[in-house]
Amino acid sequence: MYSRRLEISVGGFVLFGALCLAFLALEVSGLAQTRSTETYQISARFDNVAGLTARAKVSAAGVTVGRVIGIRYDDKTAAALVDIEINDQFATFSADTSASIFTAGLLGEKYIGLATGADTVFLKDGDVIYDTQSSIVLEELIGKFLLNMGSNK
Amino acid sequence: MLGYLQRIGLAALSQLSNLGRAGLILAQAVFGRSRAGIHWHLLIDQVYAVGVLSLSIIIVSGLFIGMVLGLQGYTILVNYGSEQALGQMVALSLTRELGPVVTALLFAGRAGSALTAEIGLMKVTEQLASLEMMGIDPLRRVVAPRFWAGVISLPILSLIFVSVGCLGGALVGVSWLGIDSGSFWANMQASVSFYDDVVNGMIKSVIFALVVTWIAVYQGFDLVPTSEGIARATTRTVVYASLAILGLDFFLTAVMFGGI
Amino acid sequence: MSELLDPFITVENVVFRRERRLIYDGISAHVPRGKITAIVGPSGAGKTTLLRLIGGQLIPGSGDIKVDGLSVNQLKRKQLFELRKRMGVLFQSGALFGELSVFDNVAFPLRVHTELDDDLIRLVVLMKLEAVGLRGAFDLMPYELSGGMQRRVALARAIALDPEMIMYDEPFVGQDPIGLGVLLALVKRLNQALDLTSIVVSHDLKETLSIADHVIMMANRVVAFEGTPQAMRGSEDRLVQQFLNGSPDGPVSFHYSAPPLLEVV
Repeated sequence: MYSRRLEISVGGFVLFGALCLAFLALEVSGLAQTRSTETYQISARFDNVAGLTARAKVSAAGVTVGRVIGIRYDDKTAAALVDIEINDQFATFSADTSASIFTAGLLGEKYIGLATGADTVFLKDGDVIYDTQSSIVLEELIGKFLLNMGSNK
Repeated sequence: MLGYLQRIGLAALSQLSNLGRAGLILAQAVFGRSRAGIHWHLLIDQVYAVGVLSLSIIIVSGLFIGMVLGLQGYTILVNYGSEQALGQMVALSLTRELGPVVTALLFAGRAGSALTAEIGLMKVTEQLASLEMMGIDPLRRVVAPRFWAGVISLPILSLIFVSVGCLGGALVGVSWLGIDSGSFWANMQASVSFYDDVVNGMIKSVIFALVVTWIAVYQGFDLVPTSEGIARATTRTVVYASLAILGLDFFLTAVMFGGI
Repeated sequence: MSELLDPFITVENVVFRRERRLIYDGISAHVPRGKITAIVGPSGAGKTTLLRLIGGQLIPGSGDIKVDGLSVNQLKRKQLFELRKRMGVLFQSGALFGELSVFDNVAFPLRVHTELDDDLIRLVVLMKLEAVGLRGAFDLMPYELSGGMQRRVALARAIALDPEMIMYDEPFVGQDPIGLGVLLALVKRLNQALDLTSIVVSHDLKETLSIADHVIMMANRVVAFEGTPQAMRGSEDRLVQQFLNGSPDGPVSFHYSAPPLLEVV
């Protein structure tokens, strides 16, 4: 039977749903942070990007400054080109900035760490970083270790 | 041998005609002439019956599933030292899959079967026939409001389920198991994309709502008007709707997430 | 005699099948205007089906059904809609809307089909309830009423729009003698007071014949008898006689068809 109380509870239901949507947008998916700001794009050339994925974090001094938006293979140089999107508020990376691929935790995901250099010219949209450190591939590390062990004998 | 083939053929034909009837019922209920005013009240009544009354089971289920995800996730991730990833594991599982699917399954069982029984009872007590004889289209008055109420309520219930689930996972992970609150939420936010995960989950929910409500409403409208007929129809609603949900989920997941 | 009465409804050579079963094998009958017509016959003879055919809920395989000159089975949706407003139907189960009160049930057709304001609707509803003797029960819910009272409320709803005809589908089933008497008196009184054409489908023969002006008896997929109650009682047809007397055996046989016992034993 139609009644005021019923109407109120239905309105409350819909409102609750809207609140949950807002919660999901802000707290669960971090919408406000990533979508509302302007970014600029640069690329970085790596010898090996094993384990790095799209949307991986890009940070400097531990602070997230952007995201990986694409990974390509450049057959002219036989290297990997990683496209990075950096927040406009961080526009002071020098032209000789270095980029390294790190691992979060022992078996965590890969992310890119940027370390700014001494150059007074700053990176802008479309620039490329050449000073890079590739990701650590476990097999190569073990191989090197064994080699070292062997040569010490 | 021929007789066997004949039976299969007849069965297929009757399924086809059932599908056709179901389609006609859907079309008439959705697109028929509108008489506003009366139907707004009916819609609100039905959203209450189908949505608000399902809140308790959805919230409790969401909470427990979120908490179990948190617990199970932790015990697995801690082996790899990756327990900070718990937040994203819980959130992604819920927003992409468990939220839409489990909510839809619960909905089919609770609200779907109630819908079928209600419409079936109206058919048995000749209320549908008397509406017809009074010159009122029972599809417009009885079926349409219930259909739209389902389509509106289920996505809302899904949102509530996912939110409560994430909170449940946080409850277990942060408060009980001691994961750092900051990294729990930060990791979650970094890996859950609003458009790719939350919105896709909502789209799934809307599609499930359409299918489940359609099945429930059709089974109620088309059943054999006896008490046994109602019992069989409600069972059919739950079974067909559940299968449809699971099948559609696979298809939708492949389309939405398989591409990435 | 029948020819002098003005037919409101005519049924001509109607053939009707449900699934594979033949229900009517070319039946013809008519319902005189302004009178009470009883449709009687053994169970399963398809009496309720005839009501549904007249109301346009079912379409005959062949033949014609005319209500006040209009061919029901050929009407378009909108025209059928208009015709149905002139018909009232009392279903076997009453078919009240369980979630509405007695008042709202009777008011329902008024609210849907007319633009009358609330005061007028209230007046009409109370008058209709008064006609069936239930004005005092106007704010009760259907589940609080007995079966007989539910039927009377359904009757009030059926006459809410002042129809020209009413069809009663087994109105006396399950009624105690008093309830039965009340309903019988109501049917007769309403028919006269509102100048209705009434059709009563029933297998309560004695009661129905006591108020009927015209009788149609259906059996074996055809019309077994049509005429006045007196003519029916005087009929020499064996089937009619078996039905009137309630004899267990006759043209409607006691034994379901089977080979002779001696052959089986």
